[in-house]
Amino acid sequence: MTTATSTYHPGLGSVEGILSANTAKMDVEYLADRDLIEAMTGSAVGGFSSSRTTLAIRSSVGDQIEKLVNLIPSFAKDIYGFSHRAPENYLEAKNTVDALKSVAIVSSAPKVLIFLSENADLCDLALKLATVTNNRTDVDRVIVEIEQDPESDEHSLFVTAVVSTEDFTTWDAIDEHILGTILEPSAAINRARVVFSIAHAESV
Amino acid sequence: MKDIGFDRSDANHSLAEATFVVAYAGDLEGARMDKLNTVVDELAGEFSLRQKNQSLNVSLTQGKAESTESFNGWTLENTDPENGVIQWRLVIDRSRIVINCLEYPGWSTFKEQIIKWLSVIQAHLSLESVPVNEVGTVFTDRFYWSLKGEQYNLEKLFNLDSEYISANITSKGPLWHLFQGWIEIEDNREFLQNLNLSTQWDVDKPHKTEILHIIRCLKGGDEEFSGLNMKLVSEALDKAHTDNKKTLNSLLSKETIEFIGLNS
Repeated sequence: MTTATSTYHPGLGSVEGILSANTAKMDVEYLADRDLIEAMTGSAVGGFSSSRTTLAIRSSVGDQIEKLVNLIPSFAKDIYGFSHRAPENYLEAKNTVDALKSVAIVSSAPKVLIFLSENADLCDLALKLATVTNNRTDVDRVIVEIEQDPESDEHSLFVTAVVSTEDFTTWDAIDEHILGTILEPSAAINRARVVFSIAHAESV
Repeated sequence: MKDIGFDRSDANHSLAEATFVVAYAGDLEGARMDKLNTVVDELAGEFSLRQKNQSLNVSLTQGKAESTESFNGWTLENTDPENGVIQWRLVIDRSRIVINCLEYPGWSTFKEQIIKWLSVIQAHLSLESVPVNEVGTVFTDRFYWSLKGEQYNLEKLFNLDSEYISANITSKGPLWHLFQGWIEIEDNREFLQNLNLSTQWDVDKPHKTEILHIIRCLKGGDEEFSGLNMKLVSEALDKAHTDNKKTLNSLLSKETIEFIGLNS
């Protein structure tokens, strides 16, 4: 949840706002209908508004800023997209790793970063899983790490809840809570790439 | 800070990204676009990954849309050879140069690299004669805060007496944003500064605070924008650094300033 995007993004405002925001952000040329659009909106299309403003948007630098704050539409992401690794995915993974560090011990952060940049659809799940696990009072700490399956060579992101109790009722409660609220609803997205485990403090 | 709720391990600064942008007044054409390949060849030793960028042109004619793709420059990435982490990303395209630093190495190295790469690009493309629209520096600081078992307290992160903090948000809870912008004239140059503070929080995720500080030079002195001027670039970078540090020193609590080693 944020208060920023809903009020900051001019695209959610007037037609003029939508058009000026989009034309400021994308390398799109409107050719034949330019005059019509300009007449409708009163703003320059394909360039920037002639009005002076202290807003961060409406400039080539603003374009870059928009990308940095993840407001750029997916259409434009395709334009800038990498074949091997999309910049936006990498940034999302980087932010996720930073966020993970506030709720978990991230073992070999670069490995986690590379894994998440190549599996960016898991960023949200990994962060939720680590946070919800960390929020439990019966969990001492959370460890996030990448493990490689020796048989398939596939990598997975392991989120481990470290507990000090040997009471297996507690272990079961943690397992049930995490599986039921986080992992099972995300099973179709996850496809077993994010794995949850519980370990005793003395064994870690 | 760990004792009072922040847990950002191994932090020695809070800078998540630093970016420098040069925007030309018009698009690069013909020979200069062709020469982009020689720039990329010269920088090949410093950037392990390279990708050609395509621009998508859409034309709308009487309700019919047609699209064509064309070469729009290069994106280069410099990665840590040991672990593959991207340290720098350099985008040179038809309308701008963007140097994006994802693993901030400290100010002197950051500036040195920018000047070095811009000088190489300038030499190959003769950018001293290509009019510039603006140059800008963007600093993004992010703080993630695990609110496990404690209440959000703005005062932990920010100096509530700062001129950049509105009294209104001090009692409004963990979700807020405060965006501001102003113009400054300095040495016959016009700078636009934007300071955008924002938060994000879902109950099942850490609380996130983002400080986006943008310092753009929109107008230069005599002839300074008639081409890429390295003196202007250097001085605009220095101003951005000084102003960002000054702003953060005013904006953040003493505890946070110490935690991120802002003045060390």
